[in-house]
Amino acid sequence: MNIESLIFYGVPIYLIFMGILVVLTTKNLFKMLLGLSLMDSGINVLIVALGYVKGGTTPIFSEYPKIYEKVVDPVPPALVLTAIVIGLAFLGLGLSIAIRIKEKYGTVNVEKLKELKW
Amino acid sequence: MVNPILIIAFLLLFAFLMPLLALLHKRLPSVVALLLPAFNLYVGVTYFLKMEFIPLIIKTGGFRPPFGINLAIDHFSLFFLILVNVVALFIAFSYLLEEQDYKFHMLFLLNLLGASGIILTGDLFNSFVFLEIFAISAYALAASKREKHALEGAVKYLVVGSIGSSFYLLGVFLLYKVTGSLNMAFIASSLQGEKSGIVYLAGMFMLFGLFVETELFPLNTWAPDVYQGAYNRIAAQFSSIISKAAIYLMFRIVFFLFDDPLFYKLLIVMGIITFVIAEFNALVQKDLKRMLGYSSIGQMGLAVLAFALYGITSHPEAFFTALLLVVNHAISKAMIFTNLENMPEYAQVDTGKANPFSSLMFTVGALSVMGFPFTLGFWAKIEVLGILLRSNILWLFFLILILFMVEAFYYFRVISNLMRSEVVSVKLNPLLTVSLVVFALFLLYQGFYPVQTFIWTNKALNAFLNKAIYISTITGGL
Repeated sequence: MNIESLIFYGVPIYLIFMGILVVLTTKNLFKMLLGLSLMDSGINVLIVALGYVKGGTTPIFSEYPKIYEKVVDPVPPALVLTAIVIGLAFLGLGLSIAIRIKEKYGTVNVEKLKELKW
Repeated sequence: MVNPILIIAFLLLFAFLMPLLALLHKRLPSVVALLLPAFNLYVGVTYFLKMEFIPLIIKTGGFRPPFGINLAIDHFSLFFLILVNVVALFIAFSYLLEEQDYKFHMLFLLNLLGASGIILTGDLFNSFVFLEIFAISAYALAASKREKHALEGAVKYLVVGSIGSSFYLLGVFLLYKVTGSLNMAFIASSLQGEKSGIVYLAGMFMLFGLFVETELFPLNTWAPDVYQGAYNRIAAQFSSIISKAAIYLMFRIVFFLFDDPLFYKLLIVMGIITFVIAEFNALVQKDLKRMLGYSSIGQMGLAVLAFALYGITSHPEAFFTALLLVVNHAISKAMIFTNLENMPEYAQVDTGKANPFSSLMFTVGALSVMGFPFTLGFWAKIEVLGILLRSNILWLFFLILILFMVEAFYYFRVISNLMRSEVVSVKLNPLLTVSLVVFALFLLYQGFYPVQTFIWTNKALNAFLNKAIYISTITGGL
C-alpha cells in the first residue's frame, strides 16, 4: 500500500462515502441533492483513477507516435465526460422538483414530507 | 427490412422536435407519439418473424466490436421490444383525444427511447447511458402531476434512483478494469471460469443499481408512493414499460455476464422477501392505486424469483414462466391502471361508485394478475407451482400458494365491492374503450388457447439460453 495508490483510490472513495453520509444525515432537500452530486463526482474521479497507468502520459499521438511510450487508458476519461453531463441533468431536474416542493409544502425539510406513509 | 438503429434515431429526433410540432398544430404531438411506437412495433415484429437464429449485430460508426458501440439483436431482445412498444402504443392510443401538454409527450418518447435502447444495445456503458435517460425522464414523469403526493413520490424516487445509477456505473467500470472491454459478449467470454472477488463486487454494484427500477426489496420504498401520486397513464407506464425494460437488463446481466450461483441465491432471497412484503402490505391498503402499486411490486418479485429458480434448478420451464409472468403482468396492469380513468369516484378499496363497463374491465385485468383459470395469468402461475413441486422445494411451494391466496383475497375484495357499488354514469373515452376491449379479449383468448404466446416466448427463450452462439457470433468477427 504505497502513498500513490492511497491517494488515487482513497480520495474518491472518501468523497463517495461523504456524499452518502450527507444524504443520510441531512434533512434539507437542497443539501441532499448536493450530497448526491458529491457522490457522483467521487465516482467520476474513481473511474479516471482506475484507468491510470503508472508513469503513463496523455494518450495523444503526435506526428511521430512513440509506440513504446506508456500512455494512460483513454476510455475512462472519455466516458466520464458523458457521466458528468448526465449528473448535471440529474441535478437540474432535482433542483426543479425541490422548487416545486417548496411551493407546495412551504419548506424543503424532508421530515415534513409525511403525506404518504405505509 | 428497416435498420433497427432507426428506432433510436427517430425517437430521439421526434422527442426534441416536439416544441416545433406543437407550434404547427396543437394535436400533432399526440399523433406523433402514437406513430412512433407503431413504427417500433413494425420493425420489431418483422425482425422477429424473419430473423435467423443467430443474433444480428448493427455496427455504428463503422467500428467492428469490441470497438465502438454496437447493437446486438436476438429474439429475446426483440420479444421485449415488442412487449414494451405494444404497451406504449396502447397508452398513446388510449389518450389520443385528451388535451395534453407537448412536454408530456416529449418525456413519454424519451422514456420509450431509454427502454428501447436498453433492450437493443450490446454495450455495457451504452446501457448505462440509456438507463439514465430512462430514469431521468421517469423522475420527471413521476413529478408531472403538480400535487403533494406526486412530488413526494418523485423526490424519494429521485434520491434512491440516483444512488442506484451511480453504483451501476461504478460496477460497469470495475468490470472494464477486470476484462478490458465494454462489449457484453467480450466481457461474457472473458468472465467464463474462475472469477476474482472484484467481479463479484462489480456484479453486486450493478444489481444494486438495477434493484431500484425493478422494484426489488431493499430499494423499492419509492414505488408505492409514485404509483399513488402519479397520473393513471404514468402508473401504467411505470408498471409495464419501466420495470419491464429494467428486468430485461437484469436477466441479461445476471445470466450472460456472471451466470453465478451466488447471484441466483441473492435474487431468490430478494424475490421472496419482495413478494411476501408486497402482498401483505397490499392487504392492508386503503387507497386503491397504492394497493395496485404493491401488487405490481409483488409480481416483479415473483418474476425475478422464477428467473432465479432457473439458475438454481436449470429447468428451462422456470425461465419460460418468468417471461410469461412479465408479459401477463405488463398487459393486465396497463389495462387496470388506464381503466382507472373510468373510475374517478372509486379511489378507496372498499367504498365508491363505478359504472358496469369499467368494473368489468377491472375484473378481467385483476383475474389475469391473480392467475384465475381461462386467463393468460393462469398458465404462468400454475407453472410456478409446478416447477417448485418438480424441484421438491416444498416450503417455498406452500409459501407461494398462501401468497397467491392473499393476492386473490384482496383483489376479490375490490371486485365484490365493485359488484355491489352504486352505478354512476361516466362519460367513456371511445379510444380507451376500444383498446381496453382489445387487451381484455387478448388475455381471455390466450387463456383459452395460449399457443401463440407460447410459441413466441419459446423463440425468445431459445435465443436467450444459447449464450454460446451469441458470444461466438459477436466475438468471432475479429
